[in-house]
Amino acid sequence: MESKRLSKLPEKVIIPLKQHKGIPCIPMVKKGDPVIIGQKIGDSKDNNGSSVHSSVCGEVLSIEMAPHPDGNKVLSVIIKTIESDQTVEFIPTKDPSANDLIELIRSSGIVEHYGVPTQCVLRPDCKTINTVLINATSSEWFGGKFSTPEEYGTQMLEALKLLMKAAGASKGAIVLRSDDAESIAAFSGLRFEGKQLEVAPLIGSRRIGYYFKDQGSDIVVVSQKRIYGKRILNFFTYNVTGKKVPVGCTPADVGVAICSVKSAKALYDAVHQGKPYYETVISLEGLENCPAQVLVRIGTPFKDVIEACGGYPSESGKLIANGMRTGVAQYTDEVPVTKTTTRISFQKPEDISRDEAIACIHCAACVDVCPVELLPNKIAVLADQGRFDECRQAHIENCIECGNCAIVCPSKIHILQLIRYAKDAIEMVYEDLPQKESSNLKLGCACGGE
Amino acid sequence: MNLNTLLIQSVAILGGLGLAVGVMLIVASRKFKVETNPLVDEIMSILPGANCGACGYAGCSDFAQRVVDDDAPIDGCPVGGFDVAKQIGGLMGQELTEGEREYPFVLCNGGVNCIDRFEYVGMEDCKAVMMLSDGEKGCNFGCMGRGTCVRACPFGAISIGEDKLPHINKNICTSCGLCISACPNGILVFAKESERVYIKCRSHDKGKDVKAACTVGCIACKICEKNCPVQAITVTDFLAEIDQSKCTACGICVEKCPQHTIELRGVP
Repeated sequence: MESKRLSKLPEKVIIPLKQHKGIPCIPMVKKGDPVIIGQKIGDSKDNNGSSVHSSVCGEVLSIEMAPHPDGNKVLSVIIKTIESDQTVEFIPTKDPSANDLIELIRSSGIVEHYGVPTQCVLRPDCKTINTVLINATSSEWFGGKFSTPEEYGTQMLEALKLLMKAAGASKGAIVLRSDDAESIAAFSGLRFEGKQLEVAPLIGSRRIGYYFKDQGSDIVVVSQKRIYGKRILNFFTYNVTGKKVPVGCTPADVGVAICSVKSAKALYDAVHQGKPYYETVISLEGLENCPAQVLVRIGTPFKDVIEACGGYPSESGKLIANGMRTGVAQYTDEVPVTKTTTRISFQKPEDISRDEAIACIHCAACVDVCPVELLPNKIAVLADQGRFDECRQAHIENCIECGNCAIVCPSKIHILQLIRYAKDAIEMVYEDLPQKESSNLKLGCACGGE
Repeated sequence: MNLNTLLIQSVAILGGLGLAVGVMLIVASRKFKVETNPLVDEIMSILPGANCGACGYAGCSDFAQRVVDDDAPIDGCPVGGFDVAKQIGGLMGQELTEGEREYPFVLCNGGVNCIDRFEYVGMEDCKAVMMLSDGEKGCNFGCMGRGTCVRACPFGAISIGEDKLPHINKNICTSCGLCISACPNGILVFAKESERVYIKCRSHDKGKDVKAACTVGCIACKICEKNCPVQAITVTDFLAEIDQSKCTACGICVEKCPQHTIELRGVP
């Protein structure tokens, strides 16, 4: 269960100064400066920012624009490494208060895998959080620096308590995947605060509210089917808590904060060991003889991760950051692992689809597979014609971007891309609504009911 | 009842009904008459009537109404150009002096001269390509040639040529500017016909990076700056810029440019 470290130290690491959504950090080092593990190299004045730390010992080669797995170039600190384990002094925090925890999360640079700094998830502006969820439904986030299943269970529960304290929430839950027997075994039978824990399944209308009452506890562990997608937060909130998140709002609007196993573990380490977030567990897919999960330092180029894990297969293929369906294909392997990287996938040449999109044959296969009951065929046509108002009437915001529709499409229409394109266009309208009146601008925020 | 009376009766009933409804309609149209400004109708008859929305309003009639209400400028219709503006000015009692007609101009020479970083399979649209890794072109400032401007043009004046760059047909172009606002990379700008020398590159990348990506991009070598007899060219932030008020279109920079980035337009 314990993830292996990379056997070889990379020659250089590329640490992007922007690993979250928002304003990039300001570099705190100069070219030629020596750095050690855990040293803060980038900080942000903004409340919604998150610090960046060095993951290696070495010397700063340069601060320049370097490729980022999201595709664009981002200002990054490039460090030439030296073999050394020298670290800054890690100071554990004892009995932290809620504000201490928030400050600790910010200065340790803890960021959710979907790109939002954890302190913004726990303390959103002008909103109160009453329930904290840890989403452990995706197996690639499950592995960690745990030696035994019991350690995983207890550390997650401790981390959940810390997260709840930081958010000022009264209730908390860990959500497991129902077919993930390993994690369910780790939690069931665990004694926590003098009580025997039971992993409760979310079935029908039995959501966590039911189990809070049923088990007479403020912390429950539940399991549900895996939900896959890039924007699952609102759907996940509804599935677990039964609270409907209005269109255009976030789970914070209904008082729910969603964290991942990675950020929970990072907070646990930050409190108990004083370690900032400079290492992360990623999973590997599609490579031969490679471990399923590996512990890497943030900033390690993909090239070094793959070389240390058995190297590339003989024929060339497609390198993808994050999952096969919704990840971003990379044009260079000199991109670093960041806080938002969960997986490196490698696609064999025979699996790569290069088909040109042809006309829709109205087979409705996409309608059958859509997990949120949208009409992807209709939305794709509207998006292609630039009729974004009508896309919105077809509830395009509810799309969780799982990519099922694009995969089953026999005409190989790029449905997910069209949907993202339309969503982007709608977001742009929110951002800079021009003063001029136009027939195409009838979009208003639906927060508070439409 | 024989057939004759039946015929007469039905004709009489129908005719009577028609008359009654006609009288009602006349009364209603008199009583509920909406006062419209005759100026609006006159302006409407002058406007091109394409309803393209290039003026920024919902259509030609909306624009006409707003001109009368003093919300819109009289030269607000880019399609009609100076002629229409002058006629509207005559109706509204305003004088207009003619400016030079401007056409969209492509500030990129890349196209097939620019390398592709990766192979793109997906929706044919520049904005969609931009969302993925800033586009497949090696240069972040270049034209992606996927024809968003072509689809934005309501008059069909733009086509993508064999060099993968947009070409504007000046005989059809109405200078509405819709292509300029549609381009996600800001490649298209308005340029006057009299401004003859243009630098067909927008890249602020360092010379080395430009050379790696594109054979015709500005590498900021400053040769044009040094050779210009009237000091009209300055290189700022790795890109040459021409001060059109000083330029005499002598063509020296066009000859000297090692990358052939500078274009002299309208050579006889």
